[in-house]
Amino acid sequence: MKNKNKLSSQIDFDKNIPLEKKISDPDVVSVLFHEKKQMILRILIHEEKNIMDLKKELKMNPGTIKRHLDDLRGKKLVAEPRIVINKYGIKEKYYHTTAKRFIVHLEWP
Amino acid sequence: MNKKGSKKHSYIHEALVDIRLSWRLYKSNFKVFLGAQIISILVYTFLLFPWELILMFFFGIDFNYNITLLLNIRSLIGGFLISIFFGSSFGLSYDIMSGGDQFTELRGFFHYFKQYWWQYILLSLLLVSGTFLSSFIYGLFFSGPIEDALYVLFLNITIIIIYKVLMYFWITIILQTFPSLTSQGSIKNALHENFKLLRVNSKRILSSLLLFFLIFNFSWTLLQILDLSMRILAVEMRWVWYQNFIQSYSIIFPLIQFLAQTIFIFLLAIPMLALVSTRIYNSLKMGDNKVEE
Repeated sequence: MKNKNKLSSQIDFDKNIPLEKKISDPDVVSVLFHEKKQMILRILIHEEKNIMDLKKELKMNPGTIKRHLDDLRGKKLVAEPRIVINKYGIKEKYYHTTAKRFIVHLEWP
Repeated sequence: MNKKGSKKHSYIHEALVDIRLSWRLYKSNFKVFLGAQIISILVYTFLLFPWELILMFFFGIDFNYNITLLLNIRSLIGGFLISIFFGSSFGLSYDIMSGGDQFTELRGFFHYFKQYWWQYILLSLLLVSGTFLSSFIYGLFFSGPIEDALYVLFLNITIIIIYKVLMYFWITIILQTFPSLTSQGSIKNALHENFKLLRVNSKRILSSLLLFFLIFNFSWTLLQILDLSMRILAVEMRWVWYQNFIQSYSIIFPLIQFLAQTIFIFLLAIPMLALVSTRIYNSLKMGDNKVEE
């Protein structure tokens, strides 16, 4: 049952997210090259996850992950989380990227 | 199984889910609860422990000021602070269960401290007011001189049990106000919602908190009764070896008991109570009384 729900949520996730997004703002580009944020994005680009899932995979403090996610949301690299109330009455926020692929487009000067 | 039996089974199942889930979330947020409760323990020990009496008794240090007055003032301030810390643990539990990220941070503890300090004091006063009744009962039983040690033991055990049962019912009646306060933001609405929830879901709340009390409170009570029984029986039955054993550790025993009780209550029972209560509140709010695995 759990796998079935996970599969249907994954299908929705794949369907609703744009395939690619161009980034030309240097501030956003610099965020993309931050090591920890990159690690988070690499996971969220494939599948939506909550902070506790990310904690298990990245072995990072959940508070640190939360702050990285807030930064990524501020730069529109991560979307507003999907909120689910699970069968135990606990609210869960699932995070995902705003695109399946980010293309960096920079012109200088 | 008939409908009544199945409903009874559902309450037991719910109570087990409450404890299991709260334990899982307690473990995953242990560091934050540890930090918050260490602050509480330090304040409790510093303000409520009668340091002056210990120093006077063991080291003969004489204090020039009125110790009783100082202890009373310290107890009052300490009691208020502990009440706020107790309430803030419910705020942390609310963050974990309703914040969406299933975790909380220590700064949340100070946030709730600042936001709801006077509401927590009022609610805690309401919560402890039930214990006054049991003190009154104690006074009634021990109003005259009692010679028979076994009768004293019987009375003590009866009073401890009555006290614990009254405490359980009283806490059950008031407790849902704490998570409701964080959710509603107003003490008036929280009290109103608490009684509304209690009226409709009394069996669910009673059964879940009964399991909590059996694990975290009555287990401790059994130890208290055992200790008391051994002490009185040792006098009555002339167990010299046991009396010598107790006397030789008369200084260490109360200290160990104080430390063990403080650590158990602050580090385990209070965070678990806050989590269990918030879980009950959330599940009742979402109208989910039949949780399935």
